[in-house]
Amino acid sequence: MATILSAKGVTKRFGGLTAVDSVDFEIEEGSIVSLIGPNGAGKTTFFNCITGYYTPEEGLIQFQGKPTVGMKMHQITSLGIARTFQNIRLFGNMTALENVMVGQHPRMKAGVIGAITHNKATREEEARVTTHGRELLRFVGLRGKENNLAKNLSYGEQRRLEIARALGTEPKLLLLDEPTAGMNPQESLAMVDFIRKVRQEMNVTILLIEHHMRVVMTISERVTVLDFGVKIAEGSPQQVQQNPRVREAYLGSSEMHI
Amino acid sequence: MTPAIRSGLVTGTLLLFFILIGIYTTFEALTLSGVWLTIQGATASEIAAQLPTATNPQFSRVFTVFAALIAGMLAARRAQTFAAQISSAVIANAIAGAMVAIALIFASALYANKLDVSFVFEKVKAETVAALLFEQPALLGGALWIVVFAAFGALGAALLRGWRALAVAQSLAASTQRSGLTANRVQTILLALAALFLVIAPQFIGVYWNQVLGSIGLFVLLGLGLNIVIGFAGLLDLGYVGFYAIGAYTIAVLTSPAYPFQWGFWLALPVAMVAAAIAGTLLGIPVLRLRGDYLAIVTLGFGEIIRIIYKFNPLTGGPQGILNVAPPTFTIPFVNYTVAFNSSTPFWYLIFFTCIVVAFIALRLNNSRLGRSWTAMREDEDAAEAMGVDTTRIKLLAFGSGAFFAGLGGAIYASRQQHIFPDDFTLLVSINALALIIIGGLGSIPGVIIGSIVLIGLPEVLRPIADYRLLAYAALLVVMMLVRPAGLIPAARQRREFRERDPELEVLESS
Ligand SMILES: Nc1ncnc2c1ncn2[C@@H]1O[C@H](COP(=O)(O)OP(=O)(O)OP(=O)(O)O)[C@@H](O)[C@H]1O
Ligand SMILES: [Mg+2]
Repeated sequence: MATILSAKGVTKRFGGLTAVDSVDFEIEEGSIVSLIGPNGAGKTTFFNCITGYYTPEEGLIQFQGKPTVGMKMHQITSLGIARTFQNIRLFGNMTALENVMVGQHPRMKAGVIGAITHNKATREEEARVTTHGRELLRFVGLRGKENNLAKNLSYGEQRRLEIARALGTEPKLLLLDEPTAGMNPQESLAMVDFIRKVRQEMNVTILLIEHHMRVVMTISERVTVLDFGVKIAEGSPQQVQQNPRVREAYLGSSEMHI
Repeated sequence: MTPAIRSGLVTGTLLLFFILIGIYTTFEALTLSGVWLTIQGATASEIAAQLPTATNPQFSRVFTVFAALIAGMLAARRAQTFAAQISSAVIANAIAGAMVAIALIFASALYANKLDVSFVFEKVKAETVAALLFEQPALLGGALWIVVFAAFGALGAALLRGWRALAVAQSLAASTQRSGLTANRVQTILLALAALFLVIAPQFIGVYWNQVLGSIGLFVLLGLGLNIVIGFAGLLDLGYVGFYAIGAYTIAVLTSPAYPFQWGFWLALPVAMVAAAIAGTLLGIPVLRLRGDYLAIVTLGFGEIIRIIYKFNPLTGGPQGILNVAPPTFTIPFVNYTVAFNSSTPFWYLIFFTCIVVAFIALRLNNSRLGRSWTAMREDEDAAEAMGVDTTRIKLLAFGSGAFFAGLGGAIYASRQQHIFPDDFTLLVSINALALIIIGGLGSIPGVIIGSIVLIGLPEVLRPIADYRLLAYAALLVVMMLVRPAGLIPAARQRREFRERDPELEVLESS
C-alpha cells in the first residue's frame, strides 16, 4: 500500500505556545486513521496545517509525494484533500444542493466568459454538476432536502451535508473533524457505518479526529495520539489503548471511556 | 409601557418635530397647479410669476393622512391577531394625535393671548396653527386631530394586513407550478410594457423629465455594478465613486479638445472602462485581507483620494474640471441617418440600452459557478476557500467587474454633461448607490431599478419640497428597514432568508 500523506517534523506555534510540536505522521492509502488526544492537544491545528489554513513554521508535508507546505488552501483542495469543520461551517443561506455545488467548484471550468455567454460547455457542466450534487445528497441521506436552506437542517443533517459538500470536491483524502460531536451513542454508531460506506463507495482515505472512544476503537485501522502538540503514541487501536503514556494523558479526563 | 403606547409617543414626537421645522408651513405654500408647472419644467421664478401667493391646506392634510397611515402600519406591525393590530394602531395614533392636539391648543391659546409663538418657534405661525386645527375652535380642532389620526391609523393597520395576505397569496401561488407560470407570463407582459413605455415616452415628456430619466438610468448602471461587489460578493465597497470618476475623466481627457488626443467617443469608451476595471482590481489587492467595516473605511478613503487627485492635479483641470467632453456619434447603417447626441433624449436611449446589457450580464454572472462562489464567500470565506474556491481571485473579479461598469457609467455621464468637475464625484454618490441597492433589495437586479426610481426619481418629483429631500430620504430609509428589511424587491435568496424568520407569515401560511 502506498503512503498518501506524510508529515515530517511539522511544527506550528502561536506566540509562545507550540500547538503542534515536530509531529511525524503517515497515512496509507485507503485506510481509516484516527487522531485523538485531550482538548487543546493540537488536533485541529494539525488538520489546519495539512489543509493549508496554517503554514507550519517547520516541517514537510507531502501529499502523494508532492510537497504542499506553502500552497494555498484552495490549491490543496484541488489536489484532493477535503475537510469538514469541528464547528459546522456550512453556507447557511444557500440550499443544500447549492452547498454541494460549491464543493464541486474545483472540478469545474466555467469562467467569466462562460458565465456571460452561457455556452454549450457551461450548460452541460451546470447540468452535470447539478445531477452529481443530487446524487451526493442522496448518498448522504438528504434526498428531498435539496432545496432546504442549510441553516434550517437538523444538526445531524448538517453534519452529513458537510460531508457531502467535501465529497463534492472529489477528494482522495477526507479529513473529518469530530464527525460525531454532540451525537448520542446510537447516532455515533450510525455515523461509523456511514463513514465506512463513504470509504468503500467513494474510494477515499479517511483521517478523523474523534473523542468518542467507542467510535475510535470500532472504526480505526490505526490511531495516532497527540498530547500538548506532541505525538505520544501510534499504532493499532489495541496497542494505543494499552499504552501507558496514553492512559496517563487521559488520566482524570472523562473522555476516555475504555 | 406597551409597544403601542411607545409607538404612539415616538410618532407624536416626530410629528411635533415636523411641525417645528416647518414642513407644514412649506406644504401650505404648495398648490397643485404649482406642482404641475414644476413637472412641466418651469423654473421657480416662472411659477412665482404665474401663481397667486395663497395658502392651501390640501397638501398638509395629505401629509397628515400619510403620516397616520404609516404610523398605524408601524404600530400594528408586531401584533398577531387582526383585532390586536387594529387596536394597537388606534391606541398609538390616538396618543400621537393627542400630543399634537395638546401642543396646538397650547399654541393657539398663546396666540389668543397675543403672545407670538413664532418669535421662538419660527415656523409655528398663527396661520399654521389655525390650519393645523382644521380652522376650527382649538378644542374641537384638537379632538379632530385625535379622531382623524386614530381613524387613519386603523386604516393603515388594515392595509398592512391586506398587503401581507396578498404577499402570502402570491408566494403560495408562485409555489404551485401552474400559477407560477401565469405569474411569470404576467411579469413578462408587464416588463415588455414598461420597456415599450421607456422607449416611447422620452419623445413626449420634455427636456426636464428626459434629464431625470437619464439620471435614474445612470444610477441604475452604478447600482448594477455596485450590486456585484456588495450584493453578490458581500464586499462593502464605499469607494465605488472613484471608478465612476476614473471612467469619466478618462473619456474626458481622451476626447476633449483641451488635450492632444481628441479621440472619438466609441474609441475612448472601452479605454475608460478598462482603466476603471484595472484601477478597481489594483485597489482590491491591498484590501484583500480586510473584512466588513474595515473594508468599508479603507475603500471610502480610496474613493476620496481619487477625487482629490483629480481636484489638485492641473493636468486634469484642477477644481475647474474638464470642458467639452465629446458626445458619441452614431449613424444608423443602411439608412445613413446620423443620430445627433445633442439633447438628453438620445443619451437616454444609450443609457437604457446599456442598462439592459449590464443587467443581463449581472444576471448571468450571478447564476453561474462564479456567482455561486461569490455567495459562498459572502457566507463564510474560509469554508469557501476550503472548498477549493480561489477567494483572492473572485474578490478581485468582483472589484474589477464592478469598477468596469462604474467606468462605463462615468464615461456616459461625462459625455452627457459635456463637462465634469471633481466634486461631481463625492462620497455622496457612493452612498446614494449603496442606499438604492439596499432599498431595492441587496443582490436583486429588479431591486436596483426600483431603488433608483425611488431614490433618484422621487426626489425630482418632490422638488417642490427640495429642502426636505434629505429628511424624506432618511425617513424613507428608516421606514423601509422597519417594514421591508430585505428591500422592496428582495433577491430570491434574501426573500427566503427573511421569510423564514417572519413568524407572522408562518402563522398566516399555516392557516
Ligand atoms: N489561532 C490560534 N491562535 C492562538 N492559539 C491557538 C489558535 N488555534 C489554536 N490555538 C491553541 O492551540 C492549542 C491547540 O488547539 P486545537 O484547536 O488544535 O486543539 P484540539 O486538539 O483540536 O482541541 P479540541 O479537542 O478542543 O478541539 C490550544 O491550546 C489552542 O488554544
Ligand atoms: Mg479541535
